[in-house]
Amino acid sequence: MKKYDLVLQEFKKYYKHLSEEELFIKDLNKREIAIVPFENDIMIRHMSFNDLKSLKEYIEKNTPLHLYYSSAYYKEPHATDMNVKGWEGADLIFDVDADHIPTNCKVDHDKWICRNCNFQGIGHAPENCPNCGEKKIESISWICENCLNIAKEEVFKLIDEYLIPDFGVKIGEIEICFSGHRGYHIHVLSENFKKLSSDGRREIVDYVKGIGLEPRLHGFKIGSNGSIIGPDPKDPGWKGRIARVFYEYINKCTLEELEKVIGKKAEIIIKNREKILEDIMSNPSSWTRLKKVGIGNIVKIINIAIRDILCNIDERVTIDIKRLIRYPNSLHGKTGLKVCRLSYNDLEKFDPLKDSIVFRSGEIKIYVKEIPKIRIGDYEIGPIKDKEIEVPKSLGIYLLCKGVAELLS
Amino acid sequence: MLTKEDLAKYPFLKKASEYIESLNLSIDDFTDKYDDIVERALERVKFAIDGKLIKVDLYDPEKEILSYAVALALIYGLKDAWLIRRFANNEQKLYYEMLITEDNYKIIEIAKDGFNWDLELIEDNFIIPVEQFLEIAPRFQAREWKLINSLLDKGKVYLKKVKIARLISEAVKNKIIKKSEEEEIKRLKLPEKLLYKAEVVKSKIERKEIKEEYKEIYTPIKEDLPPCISYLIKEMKSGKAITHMARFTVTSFLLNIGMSVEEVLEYFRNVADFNENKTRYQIQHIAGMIGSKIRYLPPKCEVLKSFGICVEPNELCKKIKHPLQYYKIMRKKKNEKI
Repeated sequence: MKKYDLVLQEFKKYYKHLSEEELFIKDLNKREIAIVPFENDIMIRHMSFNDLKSLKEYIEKNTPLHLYYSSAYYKEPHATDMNVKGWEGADLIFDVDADHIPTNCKVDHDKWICRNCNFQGIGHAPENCPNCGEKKIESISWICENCLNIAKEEVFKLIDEYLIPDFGVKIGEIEICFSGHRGYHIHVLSENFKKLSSDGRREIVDYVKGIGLEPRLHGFKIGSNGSIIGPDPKDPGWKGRIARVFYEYINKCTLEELEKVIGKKAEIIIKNREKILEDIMSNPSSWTRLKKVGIGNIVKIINIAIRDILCNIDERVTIDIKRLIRYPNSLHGKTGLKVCRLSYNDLEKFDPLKDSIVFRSGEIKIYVKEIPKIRIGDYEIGPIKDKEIEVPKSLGIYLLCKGVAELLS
Repeated sequence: MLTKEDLAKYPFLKKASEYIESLNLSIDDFTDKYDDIVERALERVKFAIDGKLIKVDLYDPEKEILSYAVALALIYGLKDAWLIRRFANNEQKLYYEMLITEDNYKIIEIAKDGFNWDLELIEDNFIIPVEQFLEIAPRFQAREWKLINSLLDKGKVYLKKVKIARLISEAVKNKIIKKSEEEEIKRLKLPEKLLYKAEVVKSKIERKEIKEEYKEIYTPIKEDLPPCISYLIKEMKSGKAITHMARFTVTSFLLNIGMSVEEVLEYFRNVADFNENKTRYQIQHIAGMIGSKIRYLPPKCEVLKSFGICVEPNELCKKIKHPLQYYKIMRKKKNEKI
């Protein structure tokens, strides 16, 4: 059997049994649909379908290795000329991907290689090759429980700390998709943001990533008697956020840590820590005790303290108003896992390595070249190298899709 | 309630265009009739090119409303991108000045009628839905206009009156420029008589005014610039499209001698295929504000030679390897003299 034959067969079966309802997306007839077929790696773009039935028929006949739809709404989604296509708006999308989050466990499961000079390394892939400086880095990454948990935390942070309180997005307008690989897509389906330009979306990206933040513009002033007036932790938006992160940082930091940020003045803060914190939390909030520390140093502390509350998202996805994005309930061609559609309330108990499995029955025999320790469902395996093994079908297909195993008849 | 006087002050409002439509006039009707309106329209154009703000005549609101529409038709009919931008800039200033002294409730009505914005007033702050704020705010470069430096709560941005005035007036400017890119406007043909009148106004002031336009912005002393950069600036001023490499060279050079993105942008305004957003984006990129976050230096002389950008090299050019060196040496010489 050829490498892909089994995968194709299983994908075909999956799409045959998929119901039309599961293929539902908002305004299907205005979206561009694209697939990557099994035969080659060439994407077929600019397709459009008037209803779920015709889409279902198409993918049953032409089994996709990857299936995408446009975040954009078009007047004529099948047109290839962008002027004729007629952009009418796009969903606001955020991409949280473990690839963009430097997690500690990456040294255990990720490798990268420079396609220019063949220099290799393990862990989080650098942007430029440390050997030759070229940007031709190819990473070989694996899905991992820890990475996915951290990605999930990022999703909650984005929604709970930014989208709902600051942007006023309602829970019902948020749709979350597990990508079927290393992360989540957050779709905001609100009509309000639909027409936003790419520049407007960039401002939203900068807002949640903390780019361009100028703490001085959030209510810091020198009072008439030389005292410092500052924001209140109860204030909304970044104004309150700045006061809160400052409070939390001062509450936890050691003298040495603080000295690294603001030098000798750190002593003043540590000595009066209790009182300073009490003042900031009191009503109204007071920053007077920080007079000798100065606004410049307060800003320095804030710039360090905000690091943990910034969202790790891939900005390119949000800014691109013509993005093709994975179709909900389709299969990811690199893993064989399902792109699961979730509501906000589903997310907490969602286990991506279990709930996205579709090939549940049977076992297959494969030859494995090399893999780190991985888990799919309840089955854990590895690290192994050059070995023939029998594994549950879901894991087998995952490894076949990854291209690190061969099917044995 | 928006009165006729309000429409005279803010003739960009939808209510004003509805009024004009109700009269059922076309631009051809102004060839032999309504001379006073045409006169006023020409005056508006002249003021715009001069960079002066006209005084609205509230005693004759109809004339004001109509003459604004005719002025726009003249500006569009002349098919001169520089002129359109100049006019739009001037309109922005005009409305800003009027709006900052306007009653708060009136501002809310103007924003609603003009741009369908849903403003509300909370104490001395205006609040505006974030998506409406983001239609215009990204056009401003100042850090205080970034969303992250604004107060955002439950989908609403809080703004003081001066900022709302800036936002609305910038939206007018944007609308005037955007409209000029519409097919229907591109096809617009003025009756010959009107076109002639408009050309006369334009020709009288244009040359002088282009000079002034450049005076407004920060201009490095020409003699301090290496010949290659001077040459490119001259080409751009005359409206020629220059190569990609040449654009990169000028942009990175000007940024590196301390000019801001907006200032560099001004140099590109006359270039034939000028697109404001695209150009700003490219300049920001080279400035390292976006993308790779690397602030680019202009290429070395050696590279400029190979791209044919090095022209008329002088004595000093022979001693240097990089165009920025030229500038630094010239500046130093001057300081020593002083």
